[in-house]
Formats: sequence, structure tokens, C-alpha cells
Amino acid sequence: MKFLIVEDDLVSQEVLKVILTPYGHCEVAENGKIALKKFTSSLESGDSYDLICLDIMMPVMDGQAALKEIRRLESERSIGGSDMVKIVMVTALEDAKNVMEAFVKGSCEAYVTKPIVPTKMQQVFKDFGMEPKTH
Amino acid sequence: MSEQYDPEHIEMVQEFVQEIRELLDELEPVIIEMGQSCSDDGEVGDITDDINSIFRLFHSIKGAAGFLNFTNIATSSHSAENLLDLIRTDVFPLTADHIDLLCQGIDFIRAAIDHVENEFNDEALAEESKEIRDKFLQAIEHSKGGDTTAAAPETAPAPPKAEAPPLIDLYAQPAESVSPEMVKSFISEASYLLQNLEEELLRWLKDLDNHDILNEIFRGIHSFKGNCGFLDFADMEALSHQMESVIDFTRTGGQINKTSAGELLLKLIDIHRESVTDIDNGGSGEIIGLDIYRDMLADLLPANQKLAPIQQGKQAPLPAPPERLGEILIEQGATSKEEISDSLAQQNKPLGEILLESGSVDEKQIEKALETQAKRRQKKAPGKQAVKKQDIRVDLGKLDSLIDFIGELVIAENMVINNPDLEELELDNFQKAGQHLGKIVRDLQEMAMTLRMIPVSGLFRRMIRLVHDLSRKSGKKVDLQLIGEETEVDKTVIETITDPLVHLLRNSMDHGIEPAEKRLAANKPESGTIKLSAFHEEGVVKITIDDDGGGLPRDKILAKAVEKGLINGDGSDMSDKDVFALIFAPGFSTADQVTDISGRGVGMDVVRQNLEKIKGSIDISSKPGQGTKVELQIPLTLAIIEGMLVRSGESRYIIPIINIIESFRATPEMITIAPDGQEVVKVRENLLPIIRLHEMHGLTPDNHELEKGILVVLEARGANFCLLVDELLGQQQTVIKGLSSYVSKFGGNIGGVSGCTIMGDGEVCLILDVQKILEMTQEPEGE
Repeated sequence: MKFLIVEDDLVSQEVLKVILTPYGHCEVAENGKIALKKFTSSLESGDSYDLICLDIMMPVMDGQAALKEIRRLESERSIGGSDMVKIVMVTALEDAKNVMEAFVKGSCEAYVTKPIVPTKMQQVFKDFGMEPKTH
Repeated sequence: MSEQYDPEHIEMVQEFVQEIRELLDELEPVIIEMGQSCSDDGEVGDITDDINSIFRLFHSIKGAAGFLNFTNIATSSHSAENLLDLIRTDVFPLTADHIDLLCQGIDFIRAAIDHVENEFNDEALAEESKEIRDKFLQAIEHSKGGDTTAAAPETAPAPPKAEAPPLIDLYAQPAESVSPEMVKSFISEASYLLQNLEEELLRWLKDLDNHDILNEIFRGIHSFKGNCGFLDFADMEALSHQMESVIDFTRTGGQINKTSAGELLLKLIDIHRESVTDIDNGGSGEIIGLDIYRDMLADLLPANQKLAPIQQGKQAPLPAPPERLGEILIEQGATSKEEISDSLAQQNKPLGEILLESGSVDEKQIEKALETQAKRRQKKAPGKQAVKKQDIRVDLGKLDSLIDFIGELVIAENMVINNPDLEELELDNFQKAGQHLGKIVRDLQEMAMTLRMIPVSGLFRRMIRLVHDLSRKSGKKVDLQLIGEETEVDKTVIETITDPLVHLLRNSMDHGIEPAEKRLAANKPESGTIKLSAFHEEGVVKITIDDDGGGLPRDKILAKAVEKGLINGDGSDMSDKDVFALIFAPGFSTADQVTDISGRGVGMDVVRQNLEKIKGSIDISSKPGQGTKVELQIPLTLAIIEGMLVRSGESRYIIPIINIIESFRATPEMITIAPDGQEVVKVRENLLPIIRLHEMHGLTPDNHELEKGILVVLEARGANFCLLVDELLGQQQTVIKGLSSYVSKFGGNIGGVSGCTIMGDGEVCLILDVQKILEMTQEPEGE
């Protein structure tokens, strides 16, 4: 498993890393723009991510924009259906607009609100049928 | 799942409903288009991108529904996703049945979001959801079985038991949803019932032992409860149920303080009224503080008679957090429930005052509670507004009167600017101010006009579905092309032409487009094309339906018309146009056999009637073997035109500027007289007939010589002619006023006049209808 954590806050980055590492390898991007760069090159190298954790409030490019851009990049390459990368929004924003925008416009797979609690994240992974490697 | 919905959940659901609806509207046509690119012989065009976007549609719905715990919606979207994923990865090809199934899936989702919009949960949808899921599963299994063609008839089962949305009926409401008409009739019915109940209760309070009145009250509240329950106004239902129980208890001789019961019931009638008003204003009819009222009712009954909460299939959602002053006071420990209800029983003034008087709370406590109340109300408000956001709903009647007033304003402005008293005065500043006013008035006018306009795209997109369904039903392949979807049309126009458009499309599908074999034999592409287009032209909106089918059979129509006695003679001397017009006669149908799509001969009649309602017209042109074109012409509602004021003798007329090409004074050598006596004028190699306006309306002109008057070249429907007038007076904005019915009664053609207007000086002036004038000149020639 290969993960991309898109998060500008160092503490959240670390917390997510700790939670995700049992499941696979983690990479980090500080904002949406860097995430897109990493995402594109992963597609080109054929070693694409299995899951992306996306924060919304970030500098340079926010998570909503990044989410839509990721989906656009995928559809450009005719990547669809269950081949689409799984995206979990991990954010402190929990207003209806943001949640529904992420789901409906961005087709994200899950929406987890901060504070990040391991059990919440683990439940998401369970829903995706992902198991930690060491267990 | 909790039965109580906090404002956040409600807001979330509203957002969900709105977003998903948008998405569905966007993607439903994609599904249909995809269906068209997938032919039955297994040859599939490149649909990967379409499949992917539809997959994403269901995926988004699944994700969002999952987040909101709408498991039934989520699981059915998931099964659609599964099917699509298998098609995407080429496990099996897409078939027309899959398209049908996806459409059914969409229908289910639509019904489901209508449901959750009101209920905030999808628990009632378990059965439908399972049905849809099963169908997708079946389809997947059958398709995996390999033989797609053989499996097809079974995978597209006849509509499910529950008779899911019948495909043809565009107007079918999803079973769960409540139509606005129903709500409307509920409101009037409920208001009436509540009024009656109030009167009866007042009577009963004066005559406490009268059993008849009590029975009457019981019946009233019972039917009120039924109405509420039918429309799923759970709070009102719950409250009226309990009121009913109290009355029933009293009626059957239970020990109860009748006076306080009566007073409380009266109070509660007011509460119901508030809810009904709320519903009338588009609210949900929820009763704030329902619990307290229910407790108060329960307190009326002896302890051993406590009511069980209303038991129902669907548990009523309990009300939102308390907002009533009394409740807050109890919450803050300032008083008790009993005190509140006592106070409520005598409530004629604000509760706070009563409690103060009775000394059970002090002023500070009340103030504090009132503050809390205000805050909570404020806090609730944004949640409620979420539904309305960028648009507000305005009564059409209000809009219409606004537009009427603006029309009057234009007239008034003309009256001021062109006031006869000002003639020959040098008024520089007045002129400037007048121009400024004029500009603002025109801007206002344009603005008002756009208020009622909506694009036809919504209407057109519904036709995609209609054509798809008809095409499946009749087995004819048809490609529907939409042109000019963004054209904006008045809202009433959209409503009025929906029916005609459906009829016309059905006709095109059924009578126009031939079956595939016939088309191939005639050297035409196998699948037919219907073009549906809308555009603005010369102040009217034109909507055309253009098919490349067999065209209208002139002989058949004539034969039928003779058979039905609609015409005299054999009609061989009639023009094509007149023959085609026959199909608008009531009860006319040439279809050899009546299909369930069309052929009963009511359609075209209704089409014409509907169009006449909005002063539109319909034109049919047809070429045998090449297709039929139906053109609907609809005037823009706000009848203000740019007009040219002309004079002939003593009378003044307005000619719509759009019809005027040029005007000139003729020289004698330009004029010739045709053998039939018609005067013609030669304008740059073109010979144009001349019509004398004064002859048409029996006026005395300044002079009869053509050379001395002004010839105005007019154009209508591509034909040109000249109109002789005495003088051009200038251009001006003209508000069209219809001619009163007693004038129009003199026949459809009142000398080529379409309406009248009121001039700046208060005089009435007729507006010429160029097209009618043209028709009048052509008639004698029998064109």
C-alpha cells in the first residue's frame, strides 16, 4: 500500500503517519499543489497511490481544489470506476457545504473530521477492506 | 439512528439533496446518450469516459449517502457501481437493458432524495432499494452468463411489482413525494377544519355537558389528524393524535377538568394554525416545543390514563431543540411544568408576564430566558435559510403586477416627455432629465422581463428521456438533437408548451420516423433524427421540432378529412399548408392503428389549444419522404416593442420596427400596375406590391398619389411588401395592450391590427400586424 498525506500541519502529519504506517508506506505533501505534482508523477511512473488523505484548509491550494483536480487528471487518463484513487478528506471543516462538495463534486470516498482519532481512521480502512500489515 | 435531527443534520441533508439533484440533471442525459451509442448488435462506440462519469455519479451518491447514514440509498448506488465497473473493465458489454436499468436506478435515487428531503432518513426505502439492488445483481449475473442477447428480455423485466415510475409518464410523481397541489389542498382543508374546531370548542366551553358538540370536535380533530398523517406532518399528527385521545377520554365519560381541557385545546388549535402557516410558507410544519404540549395534554388525564406515545409505522421525528419561553424557564429551573401549564391555560398575554404576576419567577429570570430564546431562534435561522440561499420564491401574481406597472410606467414616461404642454419650449435641462429617466425606465423594463424568464434546457432535457423511452417502446432508433437549450422563455410559456411538445414528439416518433427497414429501403440512415431547437427571432420565441421521417401524407390526410366531412369537395385544390392544418381539427387521426403512444387524434387539437392560450401559433411544413417540421411561435410575454409611429390621414399607427426594412418616397417611374390591377413598385430590381393603409382602414389620406406619400417596405416571413402612409412620425417604445374581446369578436382579422397602445397625449393608437396584412394580400391570390 502506498499513501499520500496532504496536510500542512506538522502534528497532524505525524499523527496520520503513525496511524497509516501499519498499513503501508506514507508520503507527505504540504499543500494541494505539491500533492498534485506527486500524484501526477506517480501516475506517470505507474506506481500510483492507493489512498490519499486530504486536508481542506491548506496554503497555496486547498483540499477541495486538489480533490477536483485529482479527479480531473484521472478522467483525462480514463482512469475510472474502482481504479480511481481512494480519497479520505481529513479536515476540521464539517459544514454541510464542504462535506457535500467533497462527496458530490469531488467523489471522495470518506470524510473524517478532526481531531484525528485512530479508531475513526481504522474504521475507514476497514470499510475499504484494508488490513494493517502487522497484525 | 436517533429520531431527533439536529439542525446540522438537516442542513447537511438539504445540501445533499440539492447537490445530488444537480448532478442527476447533469448526468441523466449522458446515460441516454450512451444508450444511443450502444447499438444492439454489440457494436459499442467509445463510451469509457461516459461510463466513468456515470460511475462517479453513483460513487458520489454512495459516498454522500453513506456519510449521512442513508444506507438504503448507499447500497443501491453501490450495486449500480458494481455493474458499471464490470462494464468498464470489459467483463461484458453495455446493452440497452443496462441503460434502462440505470435509468431506473436514477429514478429510484430521485424518489429517494425527494423522500429524505422531507424525512431526513431513508428507512422507509428499504424495500424499493432492495428491488433495485436485486435487479442490478440479476443483470450482472445474466450478463456474466455471456449470452447478453438471450438474457436481455429477462434482465429488463417488465416494470417491477411496485410499478416503479412508469417510463412514459413524465408527470408521474414518485410515490412517496407529496405534490405541491396536495399540500395546497391540505392547507385550505386544514385551515377550514381548524376554524370549525375552534368554533365548536368555544361552543362546548359554554355548554360543557353537550355530547353532540364533543362528538363533532372529536370528528374534526380526527380528520385533521388523518390529513396530517397522510402528508407526513409528523409533529402535527402526533399532537392532534393526543388531542384526539383527550377528547375521546372526555367523550367516554372520563373524569377531567373540562374547562381547562377546552382552553388548552383552543390554545393548541392556534399552535396547529401556526404550523399550517409555516407549511404554507414552505416550512416543514414542525411544532416547536411539541413535548411540552404533549405533556400538558397528558397532565389533563388521570395518572392511570397516561397516553402511550403515538405508535406508527414511521416514528415521528421529535421536534428540534426547545424554543418556547416556558420550556427554557423549566430548563433553567425557574419554574415547573405545572405552573407553566396553569399559566398557559389563562394565557392571553405573553407567558412571561403571567408568570411574573403570579410571582412564580422574577423579572431577571424572565429576561435571561428571553435572551436565551432570542439567541436560540437566531441560531436556528441559518439552518432554515440554507434551502433558499440564492433565490427567493415570489408569487407569480406579484411579478405579473410588477410587470404591468412597469408597462404603465413606460406609458406615463411617454406622457411626460411628450407632453403637449411642453411643445415648442426650449427645455435643455428637462430634456436631459427626461433622457435619464427614459434610460432607467428601459433598464427597469428589461430587468422585469428577465425575471420571468427561464431557459428551456430543463424542458428539453425531459424530452431526452421521453424520446429514449418511446424509442425503446416502439423499437425505432431515434437520435434527439437539442439546439438552443439556453434560450430563455417566460415561465408560463414553458408550462404551457410542455404538453404540446410531448404530443408533437410522440407524433414525430410514432407517425414521422419510419421503422428501420423502411428507412433503410428509402436510403436513409437506420436511426432517425429529431431536432428540437429553440431560438429568439423578431421578438418571438420559436421552437421547432424537425424530424427526418416520412413526412405528412397529403393524400391520406385529405381522404380522412373527406371521410370525416371536414372539408367540402375532394380538396385537390387546397394548398399543402391548408391540408396540413387539417390535422389540428378535433378528433383527427390518420394512424392506421392506434398505438399506445399516439393516434387517438386528441394530441394535435390540444397542441393548438395550448398554443392559442399563449397567443402562439403553429406551422407545419413537410416534404414527403424527407420529414416534417413543426414550428411553434410564441410571443415574448412582456409585450413592449420598439415601434415606428406613422400617420395616415387623421389616424396614427404603430408599426413594429422589426418588420420595417426601409422607407422611401417613390418616383413615378418606379411604379407600375400589374395586369390584375395590383400596384407594384420596383425597388432595386425587386417588384413589391403596394398596400394602401388608408384603403385598408377606410381613411381619408392627405393625398392619393403614391409619389406624395411615403412607402414603407415591410417584411414578414421572408416576404416583402410596401405600405403607403402619409408621414413617419418617429420611433418609440410601445406598450402593447390587447384589443378588448368585443373588438376582436369582429373576426380574427381586424384589418391587420394586433393590438393598441396609449400614446403620450393619451390618445389610443393601433399597432399594425404586418404578418396579418401580408396574409390579407395573399388570400385573394390563393397562394
